[in-house]
Amino acid sequence: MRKLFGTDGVRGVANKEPMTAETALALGRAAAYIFKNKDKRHQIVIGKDTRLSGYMIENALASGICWMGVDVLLVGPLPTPGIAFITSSMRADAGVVISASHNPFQDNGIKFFSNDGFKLPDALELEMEDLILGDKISSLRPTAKEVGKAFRVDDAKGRYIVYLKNTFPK
Amino acid sequence: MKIAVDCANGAAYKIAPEVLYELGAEVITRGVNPNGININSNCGALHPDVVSKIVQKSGADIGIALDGDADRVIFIDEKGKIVDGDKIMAVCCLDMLRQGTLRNDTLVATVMSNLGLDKTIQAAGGKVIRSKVGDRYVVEKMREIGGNFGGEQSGHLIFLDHSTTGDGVLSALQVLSIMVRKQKRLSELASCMTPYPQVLKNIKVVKKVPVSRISGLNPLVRSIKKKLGENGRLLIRYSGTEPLLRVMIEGEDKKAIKTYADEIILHVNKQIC
Repeated sequence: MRKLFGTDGVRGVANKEPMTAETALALGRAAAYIFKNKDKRHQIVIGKDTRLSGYMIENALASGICWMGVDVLLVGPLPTPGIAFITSSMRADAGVVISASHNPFQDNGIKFFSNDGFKLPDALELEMEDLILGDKISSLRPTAKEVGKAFRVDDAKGRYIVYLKNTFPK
Repeated sequence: MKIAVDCANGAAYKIAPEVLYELGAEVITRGVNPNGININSNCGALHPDVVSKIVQKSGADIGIALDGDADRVIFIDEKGKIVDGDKIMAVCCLDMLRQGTLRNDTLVATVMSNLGLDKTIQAAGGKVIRSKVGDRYVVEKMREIGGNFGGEQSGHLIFLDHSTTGDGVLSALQVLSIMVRKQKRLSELASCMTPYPQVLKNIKVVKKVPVSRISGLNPLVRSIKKKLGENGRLLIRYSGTEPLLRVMIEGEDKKAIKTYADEIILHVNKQIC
């Protein structure tokens, strides 16, 4: 039974459950835990739309991801499909979109893309829910060099614009 | 080409105008001044009338209304008329069929798409498969059947050869490229599909009794479906977010489908409300 995720990610009024900084932090940790599956430095892309609460959610998510030792690539305001594109083009391990799509500004939402740019299958979302609601990862606290770092990707817009233009025949 | 674009004060506020401008269009913008609290507010895909007015005033060739995260787009033709996702799918799908680029000759739509879409595609030798409502389910179905094009009436359009998810700006470029190549206006292209008359009614319910367990409803539905035959559709489902039972009927005869809808509402009201 889905408790957090709806048909298009987690949605709600920002700063009310489930769309709180606390839940975003927990989602960041769970996502980092799930996508950290190889022996290398991992990266998760975070992008958002233009909502006021985007700042609050973005920082909480980034904190949760770094907590688990995964690096963060911040692309700032970018369309949802642009975030999917950057995720696969940067060879990142996953992408997160902070947006409530067509809803009014007081709402917000969090949805995930896997490394190939497709939305996460239901099974992985359920796994994330279990991790958040259970205590399997609550004691995991990497230290020293094992915490993650956040990078700002300044040219994400430009990369996406070039990609879009290339889909238009000359 | 003169293009009016409404970015809903959302994520595409810089990207959409830049892409169009760099490809050589004259661009009129709206909803490109986000301040954190004006996203989707009286602009964008939920308010296509806004960009429609701009098109009519400015004499633009096309209007493009994106939603807040720009994964969805509603079009306006040069006359200011709304062209929804179904019609755009018809336009793109027919073009792909003719070019031989529609994989398995199959379009993936959802149960919400108009029957007129099926008829248009079938007449051109293609096939339509329907998935659950939601762009992720459209994508899942496309990957399952090996298709490369699908979408929703609401304006999520997925061109799997170019993208992995619905993309409003990319979809707009696909439509524009067809207009340029064929030298046709959008109203002309969109006339390829005639939507069937549709009635959509909501019934307020106290409890969501499974539709199949509403006493006597099944025989009624069966008899209406029989009358509708190949040229109609009947869909009864609960809203996911509100205490409403939604009844949707499409058919050739506007009066008949209204009567059928009334019959169903009367029956459901007697049984469960």
